[in-house]
Amino acid sequence: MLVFAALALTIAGCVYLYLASPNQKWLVQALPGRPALVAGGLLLAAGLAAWITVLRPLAGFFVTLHVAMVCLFAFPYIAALRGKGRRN
Amino acid sequence: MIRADIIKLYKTVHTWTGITCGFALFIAFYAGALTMFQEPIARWASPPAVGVAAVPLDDAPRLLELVAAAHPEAREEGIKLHLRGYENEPARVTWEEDESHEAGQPHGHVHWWATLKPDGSLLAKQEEPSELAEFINTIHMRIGIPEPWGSYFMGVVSLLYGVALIAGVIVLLPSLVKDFLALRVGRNLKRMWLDAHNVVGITALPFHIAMAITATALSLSHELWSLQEAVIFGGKQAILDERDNEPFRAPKPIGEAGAMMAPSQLLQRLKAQVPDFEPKVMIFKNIGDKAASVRVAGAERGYVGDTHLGGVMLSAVTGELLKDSTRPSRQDPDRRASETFYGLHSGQYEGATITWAYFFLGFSGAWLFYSGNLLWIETRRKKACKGGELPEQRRDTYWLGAGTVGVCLGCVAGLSLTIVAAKWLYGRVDDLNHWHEYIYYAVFFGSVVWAFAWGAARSAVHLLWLCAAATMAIPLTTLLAVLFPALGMWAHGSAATIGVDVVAFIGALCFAWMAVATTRRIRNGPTDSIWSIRKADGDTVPHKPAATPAE
Repeated sequence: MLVFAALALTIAGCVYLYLASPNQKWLVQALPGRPALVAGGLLLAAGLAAWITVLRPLAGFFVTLHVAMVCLFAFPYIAALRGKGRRN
Repeated sequence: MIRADIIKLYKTVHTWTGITCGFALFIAFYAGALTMFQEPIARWASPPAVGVAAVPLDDAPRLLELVAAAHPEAREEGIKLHLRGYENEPARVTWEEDESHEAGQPHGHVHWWATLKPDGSLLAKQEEPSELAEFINTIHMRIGIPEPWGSYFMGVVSLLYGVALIAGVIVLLPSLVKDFLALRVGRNLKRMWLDAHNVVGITALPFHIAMAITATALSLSHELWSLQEAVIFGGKQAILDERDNEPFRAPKPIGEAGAMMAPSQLLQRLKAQVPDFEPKVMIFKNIGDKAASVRVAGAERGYVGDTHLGGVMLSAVTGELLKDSTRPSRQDPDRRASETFYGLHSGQYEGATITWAYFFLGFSGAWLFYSGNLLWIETRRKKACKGGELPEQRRDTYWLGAGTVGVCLGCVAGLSLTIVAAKWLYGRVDDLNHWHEYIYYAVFFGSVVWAFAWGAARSAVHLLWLCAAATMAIPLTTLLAVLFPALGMWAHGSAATIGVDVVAFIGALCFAWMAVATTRRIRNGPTDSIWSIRKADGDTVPHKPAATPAE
């Protein structure tokens, strides 16, 4: 159960970080920078804490990092594919 | 602010290291992504067998006794008792024996499995297991180049990959913050491919740095050890090797008979002594001797590199813990560091989350090199003047386009078809493991020749359809096995093997989508490109840019 919570927190943190970026393409307007970045950072920190609880500090850190990397490269591609779908 | 001439220099370094290593790295990353599911693929490819369940754990002592009596070599080399009941474990007990060879000479092994007949007597059979998953791993590690040259080559490629990463980051520094997470799809194709390349390269940079360092070290490990021996240890490394190997060495037999503890009791003793350890397989040595031992290989969750070489050794007579310095929580710092290093490369920790993350990151890595080549081609595209004649594109862009399509899609189609062959050719050819190699290389080299013969644009469509068909053949083969049992194929019902079919099905749909999009692009896209099949037809109607994955 805690694994799912850790995963959800990590992904949610990345969503906030992406939506805070001026280059995001999911929303018409990016979320207000600082609050969204803080929210994203806190969610990621909570995700990291959850992963460390499930695993150990080093493994927890690397799992958080790798999930975040997947999210952050996937989100711009998902946005581009959605945009392409709408244009078609 | 970095000087423009420095940026230009690093751009040149990044471009040429990327272009020269891109093909090899695409293959390494694509095959590497598949190796994240090495065990499910091995299970998918393994024919139905007697299985572990045929001999309950309570009957295992008799089976071990009979195998040890009938196969003395197995008794010395180690008899594996499987605990999980996976499809690639043909029976409760397996072991390897040396092929006949001259003393001291390199030699292969033959594989045996054994079970109990209904009357309680021994049934042992020599049968070679599917090596499909190992073959995919070989392609990942050495892209098919034989040893030792394959390792040397990939060591150098990994080193250059690291150089390309550093140079690429330096080139990006001036616009890093401004363009972070930007993927601008529009008329400017060069901008789009640059964004598509940078998004993957920058967001997954820690992964790529880890891969570059670990792949270099793993590929050149023999050479690094030799260098250490010469420069640091001065011939004394054998002492360290001895210390490293000691935890894996079973006690020597003493020649006195001893009553073996039952495996189920040994597992209880293990649980009591090492509660967090998850056993996968028990390897018995010197059964029947008072000094008989069992090494239990398995995982200790929570550590990076939690399963690689990890295990504990018990006395098979008393269940007493003999050696446990190879399990993660008891490893000494240098071994823990090296296991962490290995675990970071192979994604061997945590479980499903990290397996999937590495799978997607592996594909993103393959895409990084593919998109790098597309960017190189797009950057050198000669554009038509408004209303003017179509310019002749540079020959090198034609060659790189054809090479990119042939090598990358040839690798994809070759791996898919060789996976399919595991079921179609089983029992129909003598040496299936060699057939996996023949099929992969035939498809791979055939695709490269095809790409150069037909050109990048046309061959991209042909080969993408080939990839889609070959990948779709994986779940279709399983479906045919269910519908027509007379074909002699099989369909395992475990979640892991069904997962292989489901992922292949989704992958095939993705390739089909790319093929359709590429067809549209080569027919309707801008004509002043190597990705168009339209001749100079005087068409001056402005085209909507239609970038596709194959472009």
